[in-house]
Amino acid sequence: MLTVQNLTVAFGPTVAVRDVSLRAEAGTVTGILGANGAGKTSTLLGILGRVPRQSGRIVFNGHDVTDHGTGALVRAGIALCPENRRLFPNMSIEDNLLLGAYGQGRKTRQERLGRAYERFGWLHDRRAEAAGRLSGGQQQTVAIARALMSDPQLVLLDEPSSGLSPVAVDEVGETLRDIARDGTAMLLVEQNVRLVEKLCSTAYVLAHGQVAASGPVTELLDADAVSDAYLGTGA
Amino acid sequence: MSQVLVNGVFLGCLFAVVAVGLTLVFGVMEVPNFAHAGVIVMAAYPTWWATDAGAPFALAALAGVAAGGVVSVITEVVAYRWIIDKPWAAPAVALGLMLVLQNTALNMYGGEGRSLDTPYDDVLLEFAGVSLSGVKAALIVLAVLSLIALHLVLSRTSLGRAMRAVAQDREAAAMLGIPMRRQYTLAFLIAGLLAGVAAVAYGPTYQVSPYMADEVLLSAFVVVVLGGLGSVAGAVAGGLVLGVVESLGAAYISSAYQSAFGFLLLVIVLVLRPGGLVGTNARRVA
Repeated sequence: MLTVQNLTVAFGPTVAVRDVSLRAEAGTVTGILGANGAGKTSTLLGILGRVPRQSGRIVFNGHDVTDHGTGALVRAGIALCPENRRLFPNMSIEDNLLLGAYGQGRKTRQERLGRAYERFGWLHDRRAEAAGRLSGGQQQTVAIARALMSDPQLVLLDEPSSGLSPVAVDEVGETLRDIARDGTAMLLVEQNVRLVEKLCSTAYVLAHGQVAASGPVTELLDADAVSDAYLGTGA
Repeated sequence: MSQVLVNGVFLGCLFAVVAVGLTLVFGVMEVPNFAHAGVIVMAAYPTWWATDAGAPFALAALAGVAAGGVVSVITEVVAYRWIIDKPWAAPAVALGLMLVLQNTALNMYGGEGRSLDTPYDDVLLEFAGVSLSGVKAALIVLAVLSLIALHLVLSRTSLGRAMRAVAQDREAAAMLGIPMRRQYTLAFLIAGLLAGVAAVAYGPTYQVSPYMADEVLLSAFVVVVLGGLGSVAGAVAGGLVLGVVESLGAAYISSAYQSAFGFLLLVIVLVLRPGGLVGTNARRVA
């Protein structure tokens, strides 16, 4: 599905991500873990071409998409659910969703909108409401639904639990599990270890912009050195 | 009083059409587009030239509106596009472009004012003691139709939705795969077409000259701030309020201070509602 080889992202002289390689497979949730400033968000944005890539290769569904712009990557089947949701607060829920299917024909947009309303029933009832009036959990649902509007095969999720109540985190977790069950691959950047444990089969631990460890999540979380150094879960 | 209000609405419609173009560009690119005055000039001259050559006014007006769109897009492609990441350079570039456009007009057509004749020059509408010249009535109708069309584009089309999104959060819109350059060009195209409408409507009342839009540009900037930066609804409301306030002030206090009433209103609004009449501090096009 997605193979990232030796991705390096730099902002001027500051290297945020150095030689990161990772894989994501269909129907699975792959975690990217690490402390603040470890390079997790930069990795996702680097994959989507939103930050300057210095080197590296990105292969998606067997095609080299390294030189693709964001629009082409979205059309190829990669969607981002960004940190802090980044909804358009003055626009309605429906307009936010439709923006996720930008560039598609009217019929396709309406079809996907119907699918979103089918999956998240309450969105239909409140479709005319401004997105900025929703609670954090509801906004996260809209952000996930918006990402799905491009009919992606891979969703990049950046801290979907950020700022949410425990109940809302559980609901988001259930939603993501359902989406993965439908065959969509997910690359999940997350600091909430409980959510990672619940959703991810494998994970990569980043430290100082590099992959410090990778493997099955259960093994990673059991390794005290990894937990202490990068996740802050140790005693 | 009714006559003063009607005059205010006429002025307000003119301000609104110019201000909406400015606020649209500001919302999408954060550029204070002083060159808008030059675009109005570059739209007015082809209209005058075509009518002078004997073309039907409707055809000349269409040519003027189209010229506004083309010139505006050219300013985006040759100048603004290259400074999108350098917002500090935008005011200087905008002023420079305004001078280039005005001086181009000066070189091509000279500095004297030209009269733009219309088929409704001799029309005078009278209703309940209020009279309105055909030229002013045409401006009001043109302005209202243009603003309705813009509202429909922004609210009902995919491109309009994307433009509103770009105005609210440019990076979030880019993350969805919305092509930024197309949005910038579209914003300038719409602003240019509106500048063309302003030129066609404004030219017959005043005269066509290289500096014909300087004063209206200043008022339009007051309207943009008054309505809330980047707010199309605010620009329309602000335009009407400013037009009526200036007309009332000119009629009942002194016409010598007509523009000063607008600035006084601006100060009062900014003290009471820093985000503008309709807008918020957040950028938006809606």
